Amino acid sequence: MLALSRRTGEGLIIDGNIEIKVLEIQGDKVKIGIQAPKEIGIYREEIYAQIKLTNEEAASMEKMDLAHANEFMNKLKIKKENK
Amino acid sequence: MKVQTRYFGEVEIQDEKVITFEEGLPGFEDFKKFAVLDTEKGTFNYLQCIEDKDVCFVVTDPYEFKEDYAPRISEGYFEKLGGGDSKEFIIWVIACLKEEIEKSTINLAGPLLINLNTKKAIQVIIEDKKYKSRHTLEELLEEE
Repeated sequence: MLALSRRTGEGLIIDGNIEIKVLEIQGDKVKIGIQAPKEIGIYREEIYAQIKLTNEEAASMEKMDLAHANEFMNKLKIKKENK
Repeated sequence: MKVQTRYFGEVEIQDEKVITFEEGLPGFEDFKKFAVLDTEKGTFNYLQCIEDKDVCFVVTDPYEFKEDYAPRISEGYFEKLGGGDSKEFIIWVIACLKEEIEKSTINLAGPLLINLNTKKAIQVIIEDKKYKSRHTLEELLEEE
């Protein structure tokens, strides 16, 4: 990983169209400003990791009985309609 | 085209049913082509990867569980999928089914945005504390 030191107010340019700036440093917290084209996805790392983990879990389920789950939902809908 | 599936062996899938995730999904970046199988008639459906039979998700309509679901999705995502009328877009979420159906979860923090016109799709990451990656059906159905 490339490691660079920057001071408050200083920034980085990536690929000519992404700008990253250190806006504020307070203790162990850094406020970062990012300017990038709209189609670039920017996420907090832990949130991205969480989605990745949830996807992996969802895809690794044992044989899923959708008929059973769908039947459960149908019954629920009928119950709701009768209320 | 003939497609190998995880649960149903070889099935026939019409070309127009194929959805392209150009960036894949987090954790599944190399898998781009998927199709919803018409094996089920109900709330939950299989989203089968065309390129690898072992990659298969269960998807559902989030509004069946949360009527007021309103993830904030930036303009850039819609443009990435080819833009156009907002009516052309639909949202699905991935479910993780459990033996006890009530304990199953759906991922409201990572909805799948699909452009029905261009057949392009993307998994959007929602940074909103209201929406978690694991909402149990139990808790959602109680809320209603």
